[in-house]
Amino acid sequence: MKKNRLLKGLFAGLFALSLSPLAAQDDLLDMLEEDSKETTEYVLATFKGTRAINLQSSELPAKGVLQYIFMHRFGSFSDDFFYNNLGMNTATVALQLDYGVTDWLNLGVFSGTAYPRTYTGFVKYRLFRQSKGAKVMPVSIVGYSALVYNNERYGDAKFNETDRLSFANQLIFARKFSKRFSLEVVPTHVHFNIVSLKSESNDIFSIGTAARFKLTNQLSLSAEYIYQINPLETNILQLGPEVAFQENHNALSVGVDIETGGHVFQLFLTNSRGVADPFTIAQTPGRWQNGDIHLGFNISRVFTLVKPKVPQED
Amino acid sequence: MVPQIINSIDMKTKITFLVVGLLVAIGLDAQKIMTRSGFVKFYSEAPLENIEATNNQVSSVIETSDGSFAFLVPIKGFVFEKALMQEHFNENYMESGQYPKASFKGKIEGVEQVNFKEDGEYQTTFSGTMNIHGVDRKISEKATINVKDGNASLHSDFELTPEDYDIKIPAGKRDNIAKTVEVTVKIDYEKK
Repeated sequence: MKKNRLLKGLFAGLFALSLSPLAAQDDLLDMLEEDSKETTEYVLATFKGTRAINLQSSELPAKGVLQYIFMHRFGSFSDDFFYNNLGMNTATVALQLDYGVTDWLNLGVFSGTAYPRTYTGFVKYRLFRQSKGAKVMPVSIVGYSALVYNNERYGDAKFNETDRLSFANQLIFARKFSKRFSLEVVPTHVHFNIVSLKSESNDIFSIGTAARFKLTNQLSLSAEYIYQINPLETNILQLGPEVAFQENHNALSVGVDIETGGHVFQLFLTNSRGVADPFTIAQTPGRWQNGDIHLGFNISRVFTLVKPKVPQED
Repeated sequence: MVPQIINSIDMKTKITFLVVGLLVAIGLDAQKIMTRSGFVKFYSEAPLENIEATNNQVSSVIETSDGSFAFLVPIKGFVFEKALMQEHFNENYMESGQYPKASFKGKIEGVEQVNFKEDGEYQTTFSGTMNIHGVDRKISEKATINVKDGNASLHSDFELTPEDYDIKIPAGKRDNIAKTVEVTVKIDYEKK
């Protein structure tokens, strides 16, 4: 009797053993899933465009992609709107051209027609990319630096050529919280080679923030606010000895992003009129409550100049 | 003690013992061949533009003893010629943030005819459940298994209809994207 029980136990054990490989086969997919946990999955498309509105977003064009952005800011509603033909007479136009040297490095230039006339060169580079899986990174971190040359003519005003230069340096911390919602925080340093008052700092610090909310695959809402920690007290568009006092407000912009295949249309309202970063951020006399609101749009288009290496069959 | 037990077992039990032992041996002989670098391509021919994307991050396993077969395709592993197309594919159509992988789980029918140790080409059919974009569908498709120098590879061409997997293509894009896409699977296995 005792022996019998022992045998039964033995058989039961062996039977279970013989079944186990069959059980394992049922879970081939689990086995593959388990295996693939070692890979890192990067987050895509935190923002639709490479610009949130005025601020840079955490997006960069892919390697080998040339992008142009055509930008427009109409004159404000408070500035003789109808006489100025719906702000068209007082509009500012800018064109940006940039290229993805690698997937993490983007070089670009842009030029704006007014407030003030500028030529800008910039470099944008991705340091970290939000990811999950083997490597977990909660945010993407992107650096941005712009060098701006003010090319206005100033008649007799006396100043050094280098006074025309200003700079913007930013670090963009961005997170895609869900399929719909993304947010970025952008600590910013702006430097003007010349300011009007001795008491003013040449370095303006600010914190920008931008968010987007995706309504449909083609349509998103966006908003952006740039808080200045030590705003300038003057208008520094006029280089030279004269001092023009001016309150500089924080830039607030709201808009929609519309995506149509190859284009991204960004249509927005903003109290900031400048197009070059240092002026967008630190030279904003307009206020929303006074109707100093500009209708603006950015239209981007990309061209693949160098095709990526696609995986080949063997 | 042990010889005593064996001696005391009757014939019938001995036979059962043998059969069970044999089953265990077969079970342990279960042979898996697998890879993490399988290749898959899809091609969509449409009036406005042809779309092609390739992926060489397919992981797959075949249990050669019974033909169990599975593969897993990371959606973000598809590379397009245009980065923007790739973004739209992931964001708008496949929603790869939500459904990061496509998978298949099923069986290769008549796998017993395939000698995985000898060179040869075998026409087979695999059937089971395909999961794309979170949607399960039963499929059955033809595949060729090629054995060369002891290494097996599987090749299959078939068609998929995005609509079957609840992949919505907006009205404005119907001229850009074909109703059905041609899929090519080519997986070279390593012995495990």
